[in-house]
Amino acid sequence: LDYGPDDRNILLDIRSGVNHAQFMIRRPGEPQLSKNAACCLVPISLPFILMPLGVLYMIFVRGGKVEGDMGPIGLAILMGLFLMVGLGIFYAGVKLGLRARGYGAKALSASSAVTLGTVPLDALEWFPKPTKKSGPSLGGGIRINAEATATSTAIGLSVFALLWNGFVGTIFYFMITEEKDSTPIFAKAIFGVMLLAGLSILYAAIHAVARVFLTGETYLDVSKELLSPGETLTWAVIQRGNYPIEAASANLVCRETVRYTVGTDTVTKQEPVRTIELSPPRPSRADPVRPVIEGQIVIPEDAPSSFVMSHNRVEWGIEVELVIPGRPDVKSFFPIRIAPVSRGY
Amino acid sequence: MFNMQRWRQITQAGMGAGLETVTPESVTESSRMGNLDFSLRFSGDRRYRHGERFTGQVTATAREPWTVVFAEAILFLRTEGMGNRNEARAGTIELARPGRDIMRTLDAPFEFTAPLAPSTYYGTLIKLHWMVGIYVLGKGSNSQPESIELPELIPGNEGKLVRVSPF
Repeated sequence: LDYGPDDRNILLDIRSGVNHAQFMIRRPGEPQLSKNAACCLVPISLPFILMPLGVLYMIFVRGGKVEGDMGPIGLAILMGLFLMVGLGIFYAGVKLGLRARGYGAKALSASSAVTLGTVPLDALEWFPKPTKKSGPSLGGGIRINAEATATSTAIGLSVFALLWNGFVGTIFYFMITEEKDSTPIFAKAIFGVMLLAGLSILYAAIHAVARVFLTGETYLDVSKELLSPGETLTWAVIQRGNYPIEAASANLVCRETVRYTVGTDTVTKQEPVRTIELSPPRPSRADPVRPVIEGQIVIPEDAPSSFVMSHNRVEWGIEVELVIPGRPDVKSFFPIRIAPVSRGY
Repeated sequence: MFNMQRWRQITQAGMGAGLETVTPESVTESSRMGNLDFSLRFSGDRRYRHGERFTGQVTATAREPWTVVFAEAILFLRTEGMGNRNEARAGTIELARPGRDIMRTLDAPFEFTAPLAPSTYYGTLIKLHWMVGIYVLGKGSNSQPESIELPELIPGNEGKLVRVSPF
């Protein structure tokens, strides 16, 4: 199976004796799915769905009484959270399961396709998918988002802080307010530590939200996001807002990331293997229509190609650091892709 | 006695454990794997550019007539280093149809196109190797899977795209 020079054609090399071919279109970067892994999610979701439904039915349909300080509304909120988690897992299980079972596969007659060719870069499962674009750039290239944008980080941390502190805080509250005081001290200690962890998550969430509102989103404008060795990359850092920046700097970074198993734990290790200074720290100013810092760099001839698999990654990107007085600082990684060959794609 | 389930696991999982890497020096020499003698030859010196087509020849010989259960050549990449191993197929060629009776020697060509990325890489935490794996299993003759490393995929060739007939 080969692909045509553009993504509208899929070319098949059909040998004699083949009457039809079955294939599935998979988006670049989409993981290959294990049927078993996908199907595990559905049974896992059932307790999360059935238990809250049962409790809600008992309270609001059968008129059951709720004992304790929580009350029916508090319990309903808690059950609602369980239900949302359960439905999310169920949806993911069904969606992944259908895809793993070939949902969306198309049948072709042998006479409809013929070919020779090379699989395009974006169709290679181990080549990074195109960097997400966030809009037109100032200089006619493309504007790309950071690996983790300020907004997505703020939303993610806020939801996590809400769920963590909601569960842990509720349980801890009932532990310390129960009349009989039957909870062992070590259980209180464990939940106390979890509550402290929750507070640090809450701090991180508040910091992330403050970065969205006080600092604003940071973007990188680049001439192109897929480059090959020897090509010139033109780049510019754009910072929303209008305030002075004490020090702005940028580096072109190649980093390796590996995941390995130690006992039952999975450990992730990341190491920059090449760092090229693009702009040393210097004062600047945030301005939505003028770059904070900008420049050009020729991709080194011996640059390794980008590569992404489940346990091993080689990634290129521009690391931007902004030190801002009185506002949360910025340290973001903007991924670009380096291919040994990019001409023609 | 060959273990059919084990063989299926190996092929379905995409080159699992048990592969033996043959050093470059032994590539054109015959090697004996189980009851089959293998000989592999590659076009050139096994250093290919991205997009370049390369060919090879597999010869599998048994002492007596045998029937093909499956026979495949696979181009795949493999990581090595601190992280858990990743492997992925880039191409599969059927060397002979299952059920084909072989008098003694199966002589089959294979042809692959070197993928456009990534290049062979020796980094700090990660090494990337491109390999060609040979899997031949016959009734009456048994073998172990064998794989041979391509020393390098070299940047610098934009590949040659030929579209014969659109649909």
